[in-house]
Amino acid sequence: MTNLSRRQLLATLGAMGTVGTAGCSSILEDNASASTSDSGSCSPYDPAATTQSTWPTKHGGVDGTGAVASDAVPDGPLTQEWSVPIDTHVGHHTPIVGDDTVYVHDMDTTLFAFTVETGKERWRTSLEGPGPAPTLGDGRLVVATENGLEAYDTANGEHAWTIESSSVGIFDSPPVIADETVYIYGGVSVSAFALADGSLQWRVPIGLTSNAAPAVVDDTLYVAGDDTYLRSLSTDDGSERWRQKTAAHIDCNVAVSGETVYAGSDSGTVIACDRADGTTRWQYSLPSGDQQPQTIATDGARVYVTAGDTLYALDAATGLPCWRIDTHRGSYSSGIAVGDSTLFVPTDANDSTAETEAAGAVYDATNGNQLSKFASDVRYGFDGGPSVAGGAVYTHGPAALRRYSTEDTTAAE
Amino acid sequence: MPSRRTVLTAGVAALTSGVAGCSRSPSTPTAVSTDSDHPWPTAGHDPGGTGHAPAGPTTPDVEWTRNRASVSPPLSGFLSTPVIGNGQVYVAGLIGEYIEADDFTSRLLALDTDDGSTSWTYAFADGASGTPALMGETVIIGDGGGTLYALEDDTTRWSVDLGGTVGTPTRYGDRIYVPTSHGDLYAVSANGEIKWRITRRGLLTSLFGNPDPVTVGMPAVDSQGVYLVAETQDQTAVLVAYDHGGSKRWQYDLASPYGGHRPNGPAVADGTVYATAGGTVHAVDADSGTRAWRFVSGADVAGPPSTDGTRVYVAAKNLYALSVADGTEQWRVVNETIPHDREADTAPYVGRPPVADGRVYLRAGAFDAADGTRRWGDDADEWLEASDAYYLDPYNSRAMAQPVVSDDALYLSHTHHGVRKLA
Repeated sequence: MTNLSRRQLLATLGAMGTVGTAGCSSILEDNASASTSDSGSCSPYDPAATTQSTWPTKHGGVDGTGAVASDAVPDGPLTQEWSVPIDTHVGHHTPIVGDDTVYVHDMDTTLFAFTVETGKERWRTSLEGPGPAPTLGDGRLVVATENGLEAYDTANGEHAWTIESSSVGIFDSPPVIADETVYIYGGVSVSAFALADGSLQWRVPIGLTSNAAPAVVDDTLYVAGDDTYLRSLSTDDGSERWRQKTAAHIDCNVAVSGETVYAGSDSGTVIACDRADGTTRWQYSLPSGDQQPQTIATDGARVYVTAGDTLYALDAATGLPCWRIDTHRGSYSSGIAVGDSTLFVPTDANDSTAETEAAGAVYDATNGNQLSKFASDVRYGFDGGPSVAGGAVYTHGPAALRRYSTEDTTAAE
Repeated sequence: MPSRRTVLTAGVAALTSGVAGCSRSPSTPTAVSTDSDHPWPTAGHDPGGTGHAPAGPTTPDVEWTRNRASVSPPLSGFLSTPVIGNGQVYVAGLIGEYIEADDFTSRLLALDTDDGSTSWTYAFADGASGTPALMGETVIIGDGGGTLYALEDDTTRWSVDLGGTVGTPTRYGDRIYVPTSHGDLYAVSANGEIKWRITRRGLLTSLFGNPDPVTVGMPAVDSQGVYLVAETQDQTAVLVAYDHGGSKRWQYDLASPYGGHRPNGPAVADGTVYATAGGTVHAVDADSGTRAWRFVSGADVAGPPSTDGTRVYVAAKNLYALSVADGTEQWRVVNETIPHDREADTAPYVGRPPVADGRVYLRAGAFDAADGTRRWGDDADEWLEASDAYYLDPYNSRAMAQPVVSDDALYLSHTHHGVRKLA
């Protein structure tokens, strides 16, 4: 990555900040009632069970759903337990959490590891031009930088290997780790590398780049990107099992729950495909034509999609809208976490559809009612996160990494 | 020269306003739909611009190369698509966004197909501005000063002023259809008489001042009339159909989510018009102007399409083969260029891919038309490996190396190498 492009990225980030809070709201709406519910047509809320208790990728588990187990979710009002200053002039990615450690890089020069309980720094190491958020798996942290794909030991931050590849951008598709293998849609191809030594296992050329985070479940990798297709690839050799065409770039992450794959294309369409053969189960067009899906999460009962100032909850089985929140305040690196029938997302600090500042909010996943808020004392809430793992919520930025948990947990420590 | 009456009546017709063009001269061209005299007489091969030749080379080797710097005189500018006929390969050094007529000597070269030696050249003070078209022994080519020339060897048989930078002409029987940068479309006879023109100047100009130039692709022609793609002032693109008398038949909005600059000539075959804008391919019914299908490649650039009646081939960064029936992708050839990579050692595919005998030709290679496997040849990318810090962007919407074929040879105009024959 050249200095010039680095500067361009900085400029882009500055612009993205305003995009994230730009509203298209109606001044006639009642500020207090942000949630719109028409759940009469939705199936009963019956989330799928998950054992996910860490947050190893930008979108939670490697299935990309942002779903965590009930016991990984803090129960009750959240208070800040600690914060660690992260001095960066570039930006903040989603915190990566696992092995009692939370990992972040500063999008600039440094990769950090902090103990989850106290925020005490465990190690730090230098990076050159890190792109997307790091990925955790099998005792290693993998991060795509301007030098290529790099692996570090989680225990001490020691550099394990670097695979030279094309330089990456901050919004590029992040790697994902499963079964001792790193998968990445980097440049114009999808590749698999052995986590142990970085040796190339296979490479599938696609021809266009991607900003969409992939998902991996069992022996299948799901990828999407500017190519407009959602693709199912064998993790063994990258061979294509199926592909599904959409009408626009796919920038939103791919999520897999049960037997269904979910993706969102920039034409404002959310699709649900059969995991086995790619058949379209349903397709939902966002009611506002110019909205582009940014993040997808699912607990198996509902599919949560953020687009502009709106968070949609769709019936996972039918794609019918159940409820929605019109005060969403996503940033360039924020996401959705869901577990124990609750949803963690950035929302407007004053629950106003007019644009003000963002804060974290917790919603009842069954009806979209707001339960509580967090990070409301931080200006602009947060950029990266929220990441939910081990009974706590982590956010990254502005200028700090922060952990929130319930008062009970704090008292117990 | 246009008659006074033609100018006056044409003045009210606007390309994008939905007003029908002037059509007082019903003189239809003689019904000759193809020119079988020459292997590759126009940029799109035939009036329909299908890029579909009856035969092409099987496993050629490089027979000769005329390096653009060492050829005498030097061949500067953006190289046109080569056209083949009369035992010659004709190629012009064109002006463009980054190269103006003052910067170099723009020439048309006629090279002997046997050995690549220069048969004759013609220099354009205002810069050649489109790929030439052959009409028998005559070479039709336009320049940046608005003049359309008919050349026989190095002498001017006739010339006519068209008023704006002249695009690439299409020949249909005894008629030449040629667009200009103002968005005008001219029908010119074989002896240089303007039969009619469609213009967006005139009344609009007097009311609103001189409009900005629009970009217009090479016309495609079938028995029903002429199909033209123009980029409009708001940078969207439209496909417009006229009959042979110049009356507007229909207009289709080339809505494309990405790119949209530099429209290409469409192709028309078997009642369907194929047009590209940005990285999107549109198939439009030639009778009604309604959409048959649309394929969004996701790339932000595409070249002109070719078709053999079974598939449509489009270089949109990668090379795609689409079913003519419904636009589903049949296969693709991946181009490894990483978009916006300043250290690229490859360049995106954007040229028109000729198709012949079940082979699709791309740069210096050929692919099986049915399944996309490479039969032979390469991407002619080697110049990139030797160059340092070459900035690719000016070329991204242009073909780096444009092939055309005769029954036993492939001719390549390569932006940096010059002209090459493989046979």
